[in-house]
Amino acid sequence: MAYQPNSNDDIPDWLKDFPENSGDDSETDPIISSDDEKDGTDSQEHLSPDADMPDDISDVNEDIPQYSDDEAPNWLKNIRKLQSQTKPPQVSDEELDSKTTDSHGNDTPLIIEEPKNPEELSQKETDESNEDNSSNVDETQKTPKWLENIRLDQSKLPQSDEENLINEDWLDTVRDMHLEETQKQNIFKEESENKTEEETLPDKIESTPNWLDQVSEEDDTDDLELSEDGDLDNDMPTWLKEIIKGRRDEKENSLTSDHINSSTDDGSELKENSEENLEDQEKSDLEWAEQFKMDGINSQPEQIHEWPLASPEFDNEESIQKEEAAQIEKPQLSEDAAKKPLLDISDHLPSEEAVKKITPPINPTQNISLTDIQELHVSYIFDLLKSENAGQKIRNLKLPKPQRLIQVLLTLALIIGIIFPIFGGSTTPKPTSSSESSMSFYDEIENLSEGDRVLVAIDYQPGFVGELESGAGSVLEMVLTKGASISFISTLPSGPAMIEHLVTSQLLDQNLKSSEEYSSIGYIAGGSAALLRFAEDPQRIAIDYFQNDASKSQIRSITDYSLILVITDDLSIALAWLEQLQPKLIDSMNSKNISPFLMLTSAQLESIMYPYFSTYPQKIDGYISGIKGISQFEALSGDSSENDLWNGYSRGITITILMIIFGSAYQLITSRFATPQRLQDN
Amino acid sequence: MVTSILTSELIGYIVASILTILILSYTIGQNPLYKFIIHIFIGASAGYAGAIVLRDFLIPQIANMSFPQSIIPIILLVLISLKAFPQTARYGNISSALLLGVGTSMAIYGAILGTLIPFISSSSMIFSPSDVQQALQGNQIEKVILLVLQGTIILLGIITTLTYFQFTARKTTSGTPVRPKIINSLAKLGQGFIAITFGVIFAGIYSAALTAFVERIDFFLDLAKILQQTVK
Repeated sequence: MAYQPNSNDDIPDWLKDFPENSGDDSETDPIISSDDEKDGTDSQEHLSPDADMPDDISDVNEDIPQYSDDEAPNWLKNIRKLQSQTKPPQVSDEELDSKTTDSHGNDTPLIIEEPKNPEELSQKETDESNEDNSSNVDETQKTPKWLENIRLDQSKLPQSDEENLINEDWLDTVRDMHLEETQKQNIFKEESENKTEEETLPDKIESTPNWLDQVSEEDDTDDLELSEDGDLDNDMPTWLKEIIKGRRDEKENSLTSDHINSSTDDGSELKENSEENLEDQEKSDLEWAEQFKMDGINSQPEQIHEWPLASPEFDNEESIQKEEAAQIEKPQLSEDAAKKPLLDISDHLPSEEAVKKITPPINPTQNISLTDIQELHVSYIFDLLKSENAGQKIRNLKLPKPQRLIQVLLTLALIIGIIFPIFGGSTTPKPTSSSESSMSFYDEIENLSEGDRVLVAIDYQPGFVGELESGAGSVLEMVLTKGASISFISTLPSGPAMIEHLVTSQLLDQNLKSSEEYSSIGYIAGGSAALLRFAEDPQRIAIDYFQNDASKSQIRSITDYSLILVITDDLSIALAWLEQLQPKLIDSMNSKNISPFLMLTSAQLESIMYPYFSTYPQKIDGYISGIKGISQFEALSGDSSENDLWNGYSRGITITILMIIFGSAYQLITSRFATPQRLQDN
Repeated sequence: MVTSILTSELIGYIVASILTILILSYTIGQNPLYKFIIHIFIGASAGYAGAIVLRDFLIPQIANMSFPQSIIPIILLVLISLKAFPQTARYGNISSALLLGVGTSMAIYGAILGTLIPFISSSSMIFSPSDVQQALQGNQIEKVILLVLQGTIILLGIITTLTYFQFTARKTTSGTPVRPKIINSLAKLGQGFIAITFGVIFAGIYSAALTAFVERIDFFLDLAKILQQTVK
């Protein structure tokens, strides 16, 4: 049974003006009315007021030429004929007034029962039998076939003789073109028959357009599908297309819009106007659709007889109310629509994402011109950065066998050369000439007198015992011979042990008496700061040492020592003594050291200590370094005893010089005959 | 008889000779015995140094300080001890900063007053005016020439060595930084002086190493003599 709107509901004016059913099809033909054509009136006038119709459509319709039956072209006559054959039942104004509002006073869509056509009924029966299987398709998953077939096959369009004219209502023309195909299949009725008991279709609704029921707010219009034949929902109004378009993805929207654009190529006279007003028309159609959704009444007057929009559930008030509620409530937007409010609106540029924070590119694209060397250096830096956190594997370097053999042979040669004097009996004489620094060193030791206090710093490592201890012994023996007392001190933790070893190994013959001839301040911690503090106030550093002995308590400053001797192998320690303590020894009057400052160093510090000796004013009053310096001092002091170290050292130096000479000659000779392959192998 | 022979001194000699031989085994290449000896040496040195610091410095210093004076040193000591653990290492930054600051200031003070200023003042006397004047008075032309030549070489070495460390350069059209030609020439000459200096230092290092090697060989010879005497 068709839906009967409530009489008390408000209906738009255009709907009120809808003409009553009459036997004359032309009068009730909403598409084209011959009377209107004859009268030259707007075909839309009696259907709806202009206020409810988009102005552009009204304008378009005004421009549409009115043709009488005799003047109309053949294709138009065919269209009219089709319309007359499939004209839907007419609804009187009274019926409209009473049936277009629901119990809540809201406008509801009007369902107009389609005229029963025996041909349609027979066609329907055959279609039902043929499409039982296909009718199981879920309604929500089918797209209207009109969407697929909206692209008009121009061949199907009635072509005038060289006149590409369009009907005064080209939309209705398009609809009519597919009306036959829609009525033949009528898929919607088959689907409605398969519905549950709650969703049973009313008996009278037989020719409801399929697209109409498919299009609802609850339905997922994205699933609406068009059949291949395009016989579904061909008569769907444009504005409804836009609504559906807004719910589908961009692809369907473009498809729909393409169809709409292509559908404007029918006539030449109105083509321009149609194209110009197309966008406006679509926008206004959308406004209609939105308004309709809110009002619940389809406000498209010219198609009112084509779209019984209400679902077939309106056989009772409950179903009517359900439908009204479903139609009243706002459309359930898809997730995309919720996020993109413009998604439902057609003909707009797709929404863009929020402007992201503009940041400079990480890798600048501009090319920097680098030379080959610069690129190589850059690669070095990158490799260095990469290897920073990476653990370095310690490779066990394996020398090639020939090179290892040479290494062993050279070691044996050194050993033989060193021990040869023992078996050969020959010794190397001590050097007769002495350097200026050695002579100055000796002179300062020689100038000591009895009772003088000498500060001796033992700051060498155990590994240099062989080089420095013998020389230290010789020097200290001379100091003790002069009658001076020795105060040992050390800035190294191993110093006290070295002091003890020196005294027990080198000064044993002296029969030293502790606490009278020698004493040990011990280890002073703090490095340079401790030396500076010791130079300013020695008793603050070694409290126990100076407090326990009254004779030692006379030492109140560093200048109270008659001589300061530093024995070291480390450059940093030597510089610390020179830079921190030696300035405290300078006499401001003559810029000389009040107390002589002497150094006994390893051979590796000889070249570094010389500038401190040769500078003016002298910072070092004398120094001896290495075996050579010790031998010179022993020669100056008259020590005639053989120095085994000097014999071995001289032999070793000789062998080393020979190795350097012959090795360089060999390298020079072989390099002349070296090939690139040999060099690469090496 | 064996126990009388093996006195503590002799045992010390034998152990020292064995360790020396193991150290010298590096001649044939790195081997586990060499690594073993190195570990022993480092461990013994560190252990002995720690014991000396504790006995001769920490305990006496803290014991001799009165209570108010010892608060800050004890706090700093505790803070720097926390550096041993990664979780609490940051708390020792105060002590580290103090050490670093004091050490840096001492180094700068000593370098300026003890090395830089004396050498700069000495550079002005490279030609030894008094010596030259004295040589001229004695008509010692050779000595005068020698002094002047010596001064010239020293001055040239100072200028060219300092020029070598001048890295200010201009970028050419090809993009390669190039120093001025005269600066580049002086830098090349200074490079020669630096090479000679490094060579002399290397010779001193080799001399010290050779002396140590000779001393070890002499040690073995002494051990042989001792063993010979002991057996007799």
